[in-house]
Amino acid sequence: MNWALNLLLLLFLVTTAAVAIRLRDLLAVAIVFSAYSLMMAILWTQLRAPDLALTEAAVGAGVTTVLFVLTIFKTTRRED
Amino acid sequence: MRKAAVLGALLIIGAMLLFAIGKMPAMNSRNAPDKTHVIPRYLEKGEEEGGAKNIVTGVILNYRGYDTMGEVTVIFSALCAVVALLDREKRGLSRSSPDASGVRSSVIVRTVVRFAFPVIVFFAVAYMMLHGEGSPGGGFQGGAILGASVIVFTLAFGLPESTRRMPLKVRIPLESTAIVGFLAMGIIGLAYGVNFLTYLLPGVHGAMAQTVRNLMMTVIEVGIGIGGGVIFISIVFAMMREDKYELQPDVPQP
Amino acid sequence: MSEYVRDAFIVLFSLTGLFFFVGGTVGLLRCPDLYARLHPSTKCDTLGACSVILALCLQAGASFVTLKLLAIAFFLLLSCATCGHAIGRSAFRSGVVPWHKPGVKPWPIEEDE
Repeated sequence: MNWALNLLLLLFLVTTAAVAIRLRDLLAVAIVFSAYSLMMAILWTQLRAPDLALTEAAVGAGVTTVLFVLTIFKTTRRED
Repeated sequence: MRKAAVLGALLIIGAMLLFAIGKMPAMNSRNAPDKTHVIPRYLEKGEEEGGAKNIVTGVILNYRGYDTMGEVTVIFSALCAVVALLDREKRGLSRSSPDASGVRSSVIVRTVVRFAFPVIVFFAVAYMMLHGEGSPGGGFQGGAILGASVIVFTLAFGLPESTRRMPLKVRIPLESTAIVGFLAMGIIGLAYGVNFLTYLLPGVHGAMAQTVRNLMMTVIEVGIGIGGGVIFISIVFAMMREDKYELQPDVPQP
Repeated sequence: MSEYVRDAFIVLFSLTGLFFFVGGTVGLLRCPDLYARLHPSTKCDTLGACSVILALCLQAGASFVTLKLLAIAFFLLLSCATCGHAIGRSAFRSGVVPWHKPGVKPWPIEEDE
């Protein structure tokens, strides 16, 4: 049963990565990227690496999203 | 012509990489060096040599202590770069764009943040930093959570309130705790006449050695946590701030 | 006997959580605007996740894990409800007009057409 969950998580991971590349709205990209980090954190716990999962959840989903959003506010939201 | 040269170079590099991959042991092979040497060593002797129940912490702080110190230096340089680009906030000049709209955040948000903020800080300090050698977690994670808690506070109460609670003169000394803690603990080793960043000091034996080692590791963990967290807070404050800059020419006009 | 009762309750709570998650997802996809979408997604987070956590608590029995799960459920309730409120309020403040039928005003709002 575990492999099905892992397969689902990996599919979602690839989908979020592709969506983050394709989107033109940078704010949406930041949010999609935090979803990517969340999937990655769950996958790290599946791989028995709780330290990395904590880092990914705290830094990837929390800190970098805040920094991305602040940078978008300082610059521009559309990618042309 | 140029494209052909690039293609040729890529093909050569690719062939070399593929050749190297062909020579590597198969994935999950039991004869791979990491399975025969590295992992057994870490699993068998990690707790004894690394001095931490959580082997990851032992590896990060002991086997690869220099690497971690380099990472801490990188984070500190990032802060230096951001501050050099965006300038320090000066007294009375800090104001962020959400505050400028004049609408305060709602009572519900402020009450919940006031309740949750100490819990998050407690989780970051006690569960992540101080208990990092026994359970998952450590300085970096604790610092990130600490920084995130202050961000939540700033979003609810505004940048002026947050800079009043954590003024610049408190943050400046705390920003360097990570690197200073590492250097101080490293120099203790040098003072005892052994290598830089050695936790087992000569002349200290038995249970005392364990206590000293745990103490030094805890100092480094808390230093990394508080330093990293405050560096993150300073970067975010510097990025949130919006000042009215008056353009002043560098060269005095004739 | 009590084993079966416990298992039945675990299945019951899991199915409740599943139902609310499915409902929340369908609502998120089908609702017309931000305010209507906030409603199912917040339900999904609070009721659905808390039901699943309750089932996990029953599965874990009286142990330290149960305490951790209950703390997770408590903070989930707190943060999800607050987040929904904050998103809705800031959207309303920044002038996102709620969806309504053409020609029908949902409540007196100033709207430049």
